[in-house]
Amino acid sequence: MANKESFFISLGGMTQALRAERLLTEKGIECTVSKRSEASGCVWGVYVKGEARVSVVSTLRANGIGGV
Amino acid sequence: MIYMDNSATSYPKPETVTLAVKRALDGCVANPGRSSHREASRTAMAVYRVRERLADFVNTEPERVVFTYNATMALNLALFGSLRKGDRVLTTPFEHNSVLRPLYRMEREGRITLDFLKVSTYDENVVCDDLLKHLDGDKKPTAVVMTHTSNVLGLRLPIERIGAICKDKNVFFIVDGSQGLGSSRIDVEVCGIDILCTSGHKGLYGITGSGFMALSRKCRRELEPLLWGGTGIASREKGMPDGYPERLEAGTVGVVGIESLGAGVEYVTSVGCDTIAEKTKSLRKILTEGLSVIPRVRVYAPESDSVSIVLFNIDGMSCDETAVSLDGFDIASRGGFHCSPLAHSFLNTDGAVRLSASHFNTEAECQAVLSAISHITKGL
Repeated sequence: MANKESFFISLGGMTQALRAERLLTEKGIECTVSKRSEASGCVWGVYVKGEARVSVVSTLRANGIGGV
Repeated sequence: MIYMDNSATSYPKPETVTLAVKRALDGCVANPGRSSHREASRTAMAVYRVRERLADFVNTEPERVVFTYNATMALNLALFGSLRKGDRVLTTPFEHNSVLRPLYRMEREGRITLDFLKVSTYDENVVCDDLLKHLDGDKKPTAVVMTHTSNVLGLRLPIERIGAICKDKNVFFIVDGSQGLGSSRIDVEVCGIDILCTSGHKGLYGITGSGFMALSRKCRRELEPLLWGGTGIASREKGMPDGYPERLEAGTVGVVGIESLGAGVEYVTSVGCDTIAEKTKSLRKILTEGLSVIPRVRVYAPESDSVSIVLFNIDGMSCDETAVSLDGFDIASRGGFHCSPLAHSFLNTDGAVRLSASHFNTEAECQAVLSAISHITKGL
């Protein structure tokens, strides 16, 4: 069983991040849209609490939310 | 006032649109997609909800909805962003200058070659057959750019059939939905459209300054930006980010217009596009039949399956004089070429008067318009 953790998934723009938040919330996964500073500048993504990262990432990918 | 200029911009707007504008001014006070404080998040979510609604309305993904300030901006973005050097582009004589002028410029610069499809006001096979003929020729078209509905006649073009041909022959397909959306629900997947462009302030009942471009999920080309600037992300990069919609939305979006558009589309969806089209068609029938029995009045293409527009002239009077005379009766119409010069050449006019109804107009208003026109002709 994959480890549960809290983590940030970088998604690029805010629109993708809001879409991800909507999807994950519908699936009962606790998350918030958040912004981080990275080498390229700022990036939007979702901060996920207490989930298995691999599972969340594959859920997003399966719904066409990418760059993760 | 009897407002019959809905093809320029719709009036009145639904009450829910007015309320949405006020709500946006009061409640969407921050810049979406830039800061992460609560107010910015609230505004960003409001904008995103409209993106979702529009995506659902035309059947694409929310991030493939790109907000613009009008249809002209959306079309410039689509045309300059997607057409490549060497493209052989086909379009129609029914296009607005927001399509024609960008295409003329690209043709002048040697970027594309441009040709026109044959059209008919009563036989949709003409345009489909002509496209197939071009595809059988030596210089096969690589892109088709076409309006869904003529802004001069209200005539719908067979977008679904043209889209099927383009899909089959791998021809890029851009559609101007400005006059059609609202009285039609355009599904970009069903219609085989790569890019759909529209204003928000006509049949969708948003305010002026609203519009959008929708890329289908299967859009066959990646778009280059039309504008470069801030996006709230990847600020250290010299170029625009790769992801949609930010790649194509430099600068702060027009939140109030977007909110009005969202409310407008919600209204249209709740009433039903078919119901709206049925009403405007019945009003057009009253106007067309009434005008046809008034001496000295010529109605153009009365036989066409138009949604809402009646185009006419009075013998011995310029279209501008007629429009001014109607204004004297407190009736808003539009004389001239309606930014579609080739459509008027096709119809052999030197300008004409356009009456364009919305589903807020009434039969009584149509009768009043007919009475006014009858009165004007008697004075000649």
